[in-house]
Amino acid sequence: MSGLRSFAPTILVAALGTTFGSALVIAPGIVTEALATTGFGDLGAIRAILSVLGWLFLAIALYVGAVVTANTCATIIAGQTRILALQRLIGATGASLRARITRTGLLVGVVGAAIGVVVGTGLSALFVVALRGNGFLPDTTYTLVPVELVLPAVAVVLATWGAFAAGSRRVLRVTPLQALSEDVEPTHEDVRFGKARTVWAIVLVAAGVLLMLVGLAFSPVSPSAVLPAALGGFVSFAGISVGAAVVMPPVLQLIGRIGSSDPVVLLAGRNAMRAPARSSRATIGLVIGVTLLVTFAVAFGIMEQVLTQQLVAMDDGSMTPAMLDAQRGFFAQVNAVVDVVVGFSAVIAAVGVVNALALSVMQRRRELGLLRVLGLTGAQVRRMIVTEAVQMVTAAVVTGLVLGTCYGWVGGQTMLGSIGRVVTPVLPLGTVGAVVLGALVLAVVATVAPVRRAVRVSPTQALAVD
Amino acid sequence: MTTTQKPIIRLDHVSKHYGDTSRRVTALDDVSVDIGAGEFTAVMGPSGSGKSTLMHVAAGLDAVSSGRIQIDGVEITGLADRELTELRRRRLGFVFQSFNLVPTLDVGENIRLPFLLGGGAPSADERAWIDRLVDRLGLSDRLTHRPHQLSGGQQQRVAIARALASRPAVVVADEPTGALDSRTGRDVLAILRGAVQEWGQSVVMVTHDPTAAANADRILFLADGRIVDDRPAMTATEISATMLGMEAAA
Repeated sequence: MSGLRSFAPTILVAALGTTFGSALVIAPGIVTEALATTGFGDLGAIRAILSVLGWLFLAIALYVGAVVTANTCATIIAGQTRILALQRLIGATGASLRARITRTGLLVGVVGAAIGVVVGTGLSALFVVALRGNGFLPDTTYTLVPVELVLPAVAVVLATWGAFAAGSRRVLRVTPLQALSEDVEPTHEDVRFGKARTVWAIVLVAAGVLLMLVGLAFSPVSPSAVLPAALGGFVSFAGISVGAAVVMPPVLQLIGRIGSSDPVVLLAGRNAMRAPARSSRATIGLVIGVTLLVTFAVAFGIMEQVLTQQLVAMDDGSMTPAMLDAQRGFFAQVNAVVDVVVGFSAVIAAVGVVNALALSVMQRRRELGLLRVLGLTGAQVRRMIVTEAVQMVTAAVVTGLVLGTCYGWVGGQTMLGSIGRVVTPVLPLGTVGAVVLGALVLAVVATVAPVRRAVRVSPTQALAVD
Repeated sequence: MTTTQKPIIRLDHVSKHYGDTSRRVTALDDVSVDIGAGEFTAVMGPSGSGKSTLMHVAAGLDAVSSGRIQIDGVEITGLADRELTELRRRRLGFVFQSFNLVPTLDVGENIRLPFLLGGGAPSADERAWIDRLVDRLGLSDRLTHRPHQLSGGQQQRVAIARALASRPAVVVADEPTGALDSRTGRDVLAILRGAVQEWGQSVVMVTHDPTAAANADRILFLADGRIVDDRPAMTATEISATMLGMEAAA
């Protein structure tokens, strides 16, 4: 069972995904049940729309979770190379070792999903109780454990299992000889993305951009121009996440150069480039989360601006500041709800960043010891790890801000281009501020445990041939 | 042999124990010795004799249980971690058996690392010295290579260049030839020997290889945490015989 414990970070990811999924499955039912008491018609349609939206966001969260899980799994295996090599030496085949890890993945998925269902249902119940208490929800019976609850749980188990199957591929490359080698420096060779992946990424991005251009071209004609644009957005974004290993390294390299005349910053920046594909996968989840947040915020910002302009233009003297305020309030509320729903992917992605950092410190004990011997002070070690986190998070946030602003603008323009003319993108400062603040908090939180571990590395550990 | 010059490292009744009082393991047992400046000193002994511990405490990498240590006239026992780290950076150079270099930095950056960590670029004078070292060790066309692109012998040369770059009070070498084939090992020893002869560099080398120790001006033999013999330069054959004698006596 100690095997399962070392995969605790992946259990957390599975649990978070299922918690989110459970809430998304439970919420539409509760909303319809609440609306039923008001005698609102066409409940089926509302429920269907909410469910589709819920599944869409769940799919995104699952995707981010799977990337994080596969990445974490691969890194944990890299850290266990010696133990695995010893087992190979004694006679285990690579395939049998991999099968065992994949089975662990199934177990991780089941445990995580079970925790997630309980937590998700519990949180939903708490929300219902609280909202009924303050009178927001009408007094009626609510279904907290719908049959559909099985679906997110199964989806998470399958996603986790699949991610482990993908992440455990590198076990096959562990040779029995690695157990005998005195060189305990972990190989930082990269799991390179194949050419096929790069080609897919380019095709997807190109197709997506083309669709968005089509949408933009038709935007003065009809608001339904948003449909090809939205599809294009999804396709191109899928391309970017598939091709993360092509997109992220230049950004990481650029960010790593900032202030690199400081040796601590130089070392931190170089470390992100040690295994570019690994760093890319560690950060792409966060890029997805930030992009989604910013996309919606920019699109809503544009909508609010255009609609306000329309209202003011139509003004026949009957517009009151109160009406404008009401509209602003409505947008703020919608934005807040979307932020919470979309932001969940960012939380799962944050776990990925924490894991990546923790494991990278664990695998660098010897190098940290060497640096201590050569004159890196404990305080400098601390600063190096924190800088690494800040660099990774900054790269993700900057990429997400740029992508999100583009997507949000395309969305707003295609949806409202037929009303106004060309709109300028509106950067919603609230969301940007929240993202930057959240990212900084993440960078600091992500480094607490790794820093403690790194500072504890004594200089003599560089010399110990264990 | 008594050194004619002032000691570069002085150990004064140094003991080092590991573990709690009930299961105490003594790695160094009341060792007092002066390491002479400008000398090539080899520390020899069988596995578990305490030679690695001796090197660790003498280089300020590990704290002693009792006794006092001076490096280049500075009392290091009782120094805070930060001061000790700075002392290592300025006064000491290190060469290990393997994993000497930071894999993410190129050869030039690895050699300049002690300066970089100190927060300043090397001065013009220091740069000229580094250039000379790089040239001398045949690394001129390797400066932009990463460690993994170099052979084991080249990696050791880079480590030596880095150790000598800051003109430290003493270079501490821990089995510097342990991971090399014998010919490459001889090259590395010749470089260390040359640094002692030409530039008066003090070198302390821990080794279990009599051929390596035969390059030294002085050889300390350790057994069970004590210095059991202290001899001037010997041939590899004499060293082997001494070692065998020690094992027979044990």
